Amino acid sequence: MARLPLEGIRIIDSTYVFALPYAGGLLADMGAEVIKVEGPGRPDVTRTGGYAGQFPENDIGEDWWNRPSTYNLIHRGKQSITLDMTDSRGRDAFRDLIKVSDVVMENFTPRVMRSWDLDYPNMKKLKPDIIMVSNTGYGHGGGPYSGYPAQATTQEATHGHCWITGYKDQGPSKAGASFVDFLSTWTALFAIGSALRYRNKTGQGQWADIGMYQAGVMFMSEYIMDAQVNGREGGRIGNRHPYRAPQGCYRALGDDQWITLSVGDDEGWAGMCGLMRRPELATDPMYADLLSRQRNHDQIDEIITAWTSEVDRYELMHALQGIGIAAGPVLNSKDVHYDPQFKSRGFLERVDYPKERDMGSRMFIGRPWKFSNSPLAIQGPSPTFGQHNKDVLQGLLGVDVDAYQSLVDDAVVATVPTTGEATPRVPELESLERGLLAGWDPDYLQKLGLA
Amino acid sequence: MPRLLASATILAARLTYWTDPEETERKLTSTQSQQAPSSHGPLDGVKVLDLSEDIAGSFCGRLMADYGADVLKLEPPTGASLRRMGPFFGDDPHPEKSLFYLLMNLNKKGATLNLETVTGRNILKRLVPHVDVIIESYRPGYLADLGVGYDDLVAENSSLIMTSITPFGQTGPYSQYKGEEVVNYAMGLIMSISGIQGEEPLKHGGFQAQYEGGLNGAASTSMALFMQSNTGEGQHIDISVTECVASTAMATQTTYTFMGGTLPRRRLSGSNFGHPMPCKDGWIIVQTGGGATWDTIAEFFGDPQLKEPKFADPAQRLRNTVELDQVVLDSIKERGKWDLFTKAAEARMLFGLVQTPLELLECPQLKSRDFYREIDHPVIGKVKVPASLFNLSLTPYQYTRPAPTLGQHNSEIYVDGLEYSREDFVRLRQLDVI
Repeated sequence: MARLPLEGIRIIDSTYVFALPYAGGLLADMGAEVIKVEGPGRPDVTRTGGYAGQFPENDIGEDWWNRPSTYNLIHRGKQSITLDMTDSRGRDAFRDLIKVSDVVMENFTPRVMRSWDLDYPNMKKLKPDIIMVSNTGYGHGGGPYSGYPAQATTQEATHGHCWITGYKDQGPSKAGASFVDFLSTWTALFAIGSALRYRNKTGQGQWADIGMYQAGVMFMSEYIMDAQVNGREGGRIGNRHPYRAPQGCYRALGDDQWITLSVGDDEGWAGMCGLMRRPELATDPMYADLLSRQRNHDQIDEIITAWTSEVDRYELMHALQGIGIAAGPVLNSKDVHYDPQFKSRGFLERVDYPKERDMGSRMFIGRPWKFSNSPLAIQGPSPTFGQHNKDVLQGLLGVDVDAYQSLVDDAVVATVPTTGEATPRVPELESLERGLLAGWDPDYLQKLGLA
Repeated sequence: MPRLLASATILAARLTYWTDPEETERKLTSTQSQQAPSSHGPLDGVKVLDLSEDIAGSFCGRLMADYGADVLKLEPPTGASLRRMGPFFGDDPHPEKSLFYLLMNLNKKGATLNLETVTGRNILKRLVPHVDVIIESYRPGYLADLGVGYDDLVAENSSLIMTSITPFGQTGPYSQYKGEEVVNYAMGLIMSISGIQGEEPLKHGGFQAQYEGGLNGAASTSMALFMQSNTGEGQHIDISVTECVASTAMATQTTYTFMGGTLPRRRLSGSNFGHPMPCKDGWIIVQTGGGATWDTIAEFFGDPQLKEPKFADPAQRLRNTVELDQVVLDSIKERGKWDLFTKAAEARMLFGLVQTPLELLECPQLKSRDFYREIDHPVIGKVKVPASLFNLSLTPYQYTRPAPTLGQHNSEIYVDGLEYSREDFVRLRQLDVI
């Protein structure tokens, strides 16, 4: 069996929340040894179960800081150490770790890393060929927003996506959750893969400075060009397409069930008229050609809804795809676990926890790419807080037994966070009533075969 | 194998247009007014054939070109379908004026090749020994049916990486199904949590799924290239655009496997916090957390009610969210978005404002990051383009050339490179191969 792409690569993951920690999880899937570093008093914010996190069976449990869903998905396959960076021994250990690592990822504000003498010029002194990846809201440098606090939720407005997202002719909206975080996740992978290859060829490391805002704006490129040369400001068109028609999201049979479809040519429309048993619409001048369909899109939407609202969403997909029309149901967090395509590709991977974790087995999103020559996979469960303190500090860095003990005694390292508390849970039925959950499936563990 | 390698070496020596950076640079400076690169990107020396016609594959190739790879766009003689996609310069739907094609093919060279002909496929096979990566986004099985799938091409080059970006991936019951942005978004979970409860689920504006597919293409290909530089092995990389979108729903997916829940869309009223809210001249958005306490946030908005116990902690604010929204909306009604944005930063709040495309074009932060570059396209002329995805200290983003015009580098590739005679070159055109 071929090797994994990043076997033998050691990566320090000194990052928090979603963006680069998720990159760290994916790097571990690709074979890297990823060491997550947190402060005893500065645990990752996902450990509280905030940020849309959930606890197993909605139960905070004893060691709540090791149990939230988002923490566990993101930190799969990593090692965990804790170092108090406000203590010089913590910073020294961090420096020693840099000396034996290939990549350092961090998402502190520019000021913090400088104050610890851990900005790139200083890191380079410790390890000349180190690859450093920084992720901040607006990027380093002298720009007016570089010091501004930022998270993906508010950046989605600032980098322009809310301007183009929303129902037709209504106000700006968001979509998804923390969108730009994931753009940073993938940008970091691209930067690291490219920089590692360059280091192979030249022996030189470098610093990748990622600004989430900048990555988000990149995904607005065509709107910026249209504004610049045609004076057009874009705006919101709901689920429609700028050219194709009809395109939209339509009610299907059942409660809150939806089908999306997109028709790009007249033959597709004629075929769809056949499926709807309305063949006369194929030649009706109101709808027969693409331009008239664009003009009469509202009426078409009513005609389509009259048809789709009586038919199962999957049946609609297969029928439409059967005549070459792009179509698919709106899938939710439950559906993805049972959909034949996701199942067939093994998109969700099962992680079994050791008994003492009391976490059972869970399904997690793997990654959207497969390599024919490398068996990419989640390499194991997330670590508990500081699980690898001893392995890394004594085993890898050669800290002697007495010195290690004093680090423990002085709480420079820890296995229980000294700050933070679990985000309170709302009982499932109350969540349903208050609209915090759309649905709840009490038998999910049985259905998933995880009971 | 040795014979193949030997002939490959000889041919490589002839392909100076592509394999010799100095030659490339000389030609660039002599034939273009564009600035020649002063250093090389991290993917310097990587050769890529980009067969894709869509946004995702083209964006993947562009990102690789931006960071130093030599990327050759190979499109059908009629032009990649992206050339027919707007927006267009001056709203003129001319094949050289698609702004989308321009954006997605910056920094590439371009030639035409008709893969539907035997001659075209033979030419592709002659190019394969000289490349590291092929990017393609055709229907799974299309290239294999033509005899130029990954298994056929890896026989010509054992370290070949092929990156295939498709709506649902190369395998599975939907692999032959058609995708469109709205369908990828629907099946990628994001629509199930986007929009208003009771209303239709909502997609992101624009073509985010396509961009996501392209960025994942570049990310995974860079990893494969690193492995190739260690072991000499290639890969066929199979990317599903729907799975890219679904990867951004990780908090959503795990809600089910952790506690059996499905997440809703937003309620019509009472959940404006964390969503755009109208102010005097636009929209702003605010989130709790970050460095600002609730007291600071309450003072920022200025209404004393916000300091009352009913809003004191997250659980209370969630319970009284309808009332909270109204207080906040009233307090920003007469205030301007830029003033609020600056003051919020001083208060260390997590805060944003809805920027328009023109505001993004003029953004001083992006200017400080050297995000935009001015380019000079032979048909479009001088325009500013969004350029660097991220900053890199030693081998930064380089702008080298605008998108290629249709068949712009045919002569370089086929006459100078593959050494077809001028007579054969003309024949290839007349037979609709190039």
